[in-house]
Amino acid sequence: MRRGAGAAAAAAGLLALAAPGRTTLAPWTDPTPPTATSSLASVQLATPVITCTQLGLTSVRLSWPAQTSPATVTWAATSGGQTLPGLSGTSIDVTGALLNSLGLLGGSRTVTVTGTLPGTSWTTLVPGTIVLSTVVAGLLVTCPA
Amino acid sequence: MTGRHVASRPARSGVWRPGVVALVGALGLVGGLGTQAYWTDQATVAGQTVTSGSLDLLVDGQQGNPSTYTWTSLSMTDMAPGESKAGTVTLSNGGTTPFTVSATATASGNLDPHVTARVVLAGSATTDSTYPRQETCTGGTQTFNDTLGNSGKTVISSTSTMAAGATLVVCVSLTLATNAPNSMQGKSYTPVFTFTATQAAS
Repeated sequence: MRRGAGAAAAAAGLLALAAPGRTTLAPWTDPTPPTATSSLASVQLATPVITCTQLGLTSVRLSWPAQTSPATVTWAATSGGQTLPGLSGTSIDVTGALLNSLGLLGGSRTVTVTGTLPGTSWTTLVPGTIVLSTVVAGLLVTCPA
Repeated sequence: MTGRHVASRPARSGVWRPGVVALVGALGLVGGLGTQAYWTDQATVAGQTVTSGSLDLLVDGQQGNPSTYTWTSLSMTDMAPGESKAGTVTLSNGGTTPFTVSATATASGNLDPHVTARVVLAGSATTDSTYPRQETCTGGTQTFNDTLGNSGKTVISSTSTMAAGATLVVCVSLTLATNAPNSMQGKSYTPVFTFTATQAAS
């Protein structure tokens, strides 16, 4: 192999000497090559702004705007680490009794609303929160002032 | 004490003697020649204009330089993990010289490590407007399937020769990984494709 390679190199050298007048022609290239660009932007699940409506002495309705792009976001409401039942679409009715059943007796209770993009693990980066007040052994609940 | 001092004589070479004789003879001959002027003639030929060929690569009929061509069909907003966008551009030889095309691409933006670019020569782009939107390139020949990064990767090594007026469709799809982390929400991705035409032997 080495001998053959040496012979080939020698032959190439001879060819180079035999054709000293030949030049290598550089092919043209586009002096201003065109460029093309596009852009992608990922969705951001916005923090839900929660509105509280007093339904009576013992219950309030929490609601927030829907998010539908690129798909309808699904929601979950929790308090004290436990999921609140009864959520429908983008609202949930919360009663003092419900909070009471979760062992949340009296005082201020934070309800957190988190959205999830269907089919993915993406959730709202900053969940929506609201603080409800409960009195009388947790039976009465009021919206924040 | 008397005597003659005789300098030693260098030995004569037998080669030198005829050589010197020949040289002297040659000089004699040359000395006898006169200086002769050559005849010359000159004619002027009416010049014909020589026009060089042109090499011009167009992207969707546009120069794409200095203003970058905006590839709107490859753009997407509100992209979710697992979604993909596909679009095509048509390269064309707008000059007179046949050429081949190569392409490099870079990408910027936080999404770059999570977006896979796929390049297909002579491919077609599907459309999908239903979530999750999953458009792709079909047919053709795949030349690249990877993330782009910001260092400039070769996405097309070389096309076949494109004669003057010839066109070639390039399809590109961009896919956001299904496992893109939650922190990638609200981020961007900007790929830039540079197409280079190189004169081909005709």
